[in-house]
Amino acid sequence: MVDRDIPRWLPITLFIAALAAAFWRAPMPAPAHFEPTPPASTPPLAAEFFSEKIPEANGNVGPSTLARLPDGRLIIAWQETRTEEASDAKIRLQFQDKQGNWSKARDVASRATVAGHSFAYLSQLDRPLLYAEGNWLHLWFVTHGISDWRSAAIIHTFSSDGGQSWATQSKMAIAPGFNPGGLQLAPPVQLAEGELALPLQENSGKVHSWLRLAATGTAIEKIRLPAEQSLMQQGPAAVNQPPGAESLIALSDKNLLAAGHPEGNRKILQLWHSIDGGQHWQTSRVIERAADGAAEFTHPFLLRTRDGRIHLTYTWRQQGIRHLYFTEAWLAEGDRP
Amino acid sequence: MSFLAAYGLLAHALIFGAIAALLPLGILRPKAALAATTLALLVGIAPGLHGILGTPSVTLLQLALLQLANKTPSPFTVRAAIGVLAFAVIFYAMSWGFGPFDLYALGFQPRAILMAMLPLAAALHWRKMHAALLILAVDLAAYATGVFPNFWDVLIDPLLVLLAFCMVARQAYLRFSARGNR
Repeated sequence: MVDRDIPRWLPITLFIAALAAAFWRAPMPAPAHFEPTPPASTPPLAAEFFSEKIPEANGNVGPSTLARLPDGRLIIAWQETRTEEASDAKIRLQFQDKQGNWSKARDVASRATVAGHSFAYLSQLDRPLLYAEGNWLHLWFVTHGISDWRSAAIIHTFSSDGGQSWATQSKMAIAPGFNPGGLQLAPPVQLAEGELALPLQENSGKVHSWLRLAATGTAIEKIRLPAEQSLMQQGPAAVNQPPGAESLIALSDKNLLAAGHPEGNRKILQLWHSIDGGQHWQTSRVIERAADGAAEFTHPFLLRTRDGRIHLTYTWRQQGIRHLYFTEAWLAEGDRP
Repeated sequence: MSFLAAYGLLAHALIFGAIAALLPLGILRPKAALAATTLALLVGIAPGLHGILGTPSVTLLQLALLQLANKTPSPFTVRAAIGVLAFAVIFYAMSWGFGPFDLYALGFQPRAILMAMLPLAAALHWRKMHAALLILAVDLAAYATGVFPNFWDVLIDPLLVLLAFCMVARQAYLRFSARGNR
């Protein structure tokens, strides 16, 4: 294109018009306002502990996630592969009604569905994360473009009918072009007016940020956190997590619970409890401990529901998923009965 | 299917066609470009590039379209390529976590960046670089459609940076060779 072929007035006029339109389109949201941790809606519960195996999570299962729907049903999603190859990974779902019966499992995402929606090649999908908020049920998961941890992206979809049907799986804008390292997500924190703050670990855990999402799940702001900070219900806070912790929830203002592996030992899965906002942690309960070579209890995920119960899911020996629920009174009692 | 996903796939196919159009094929050049664009869609090159490199910028798509239309000389000069490379080093380093500040995050609420476009546009207008200014105007219009959540994704992408690197490297090689021949 030769510059002299273009009338002199045309580009600058178009530029000014496009700049005005872009200025009008650019969002200017009010500063994020964090919602306080909702108190449990019931009086303190008696000591209670329940454990079960998710019926259809068999074979090579990976990370799992849990949410409570407004009608009281529990929904679990997990990553599963048919073979040892990660390339046939799927995200599967199962519902539990109020009587404790699990529905038939179904696939919500696979390489084929994500490729069909995003028109992009991907080598695998991993790390699902569910979050229920009002009538919206969000599902995020991580995809990898070429290898395990290269060119990672986050895919978001949502359901407004309790998980029966799902919207188009769309790639979220989190980094320019592609993400050079691994990505990890943590459960979002509620903001005012239906917005969410989604904690992210980018570049294989070296960079900590949070994405501010509109109610529809679209990113409208990104804020980088210092490495030692976490996103708590009150906002970004410096939390000194116990070494080996992989999942963290706030039970109340300063009352925190973490699940993970002491000193990175995956043969032990335990809980830590802090009553001073993470300044000091004490071992609360050992959930699993085994000495045999095949033992691995991985990918713990904690959820506190509004009925006051605390749920924990984890991958049991890479063969299945266990779901536990317990109360704060059970935690306070000491060792597992 | 989202509009952005469809855009990304088609843009990568056209960019691949434009790369084929760079080959010295004489009168076969338009046919080679068309064949390459079609092949990119059919044999999985475009989805592969889309999956690995992400969505191409509107800037790169416009440069590809100009190349396919044989509108030469391209407004993407070596001087522009040096500017893109210099900016990209800072931009990607900071956005990927190798700095104290996330430049990419600014693109979600880009009014400050939009204001910074004004002196750039004035300079391009002053220097009669109308094609470059037109490309910038189309970038802004693309952002104004609301399809791109982050303004940087309209302006720059890794493939554009790779193109800039190739142009600068080629220029450096030619200069080096010319010195050697003297």
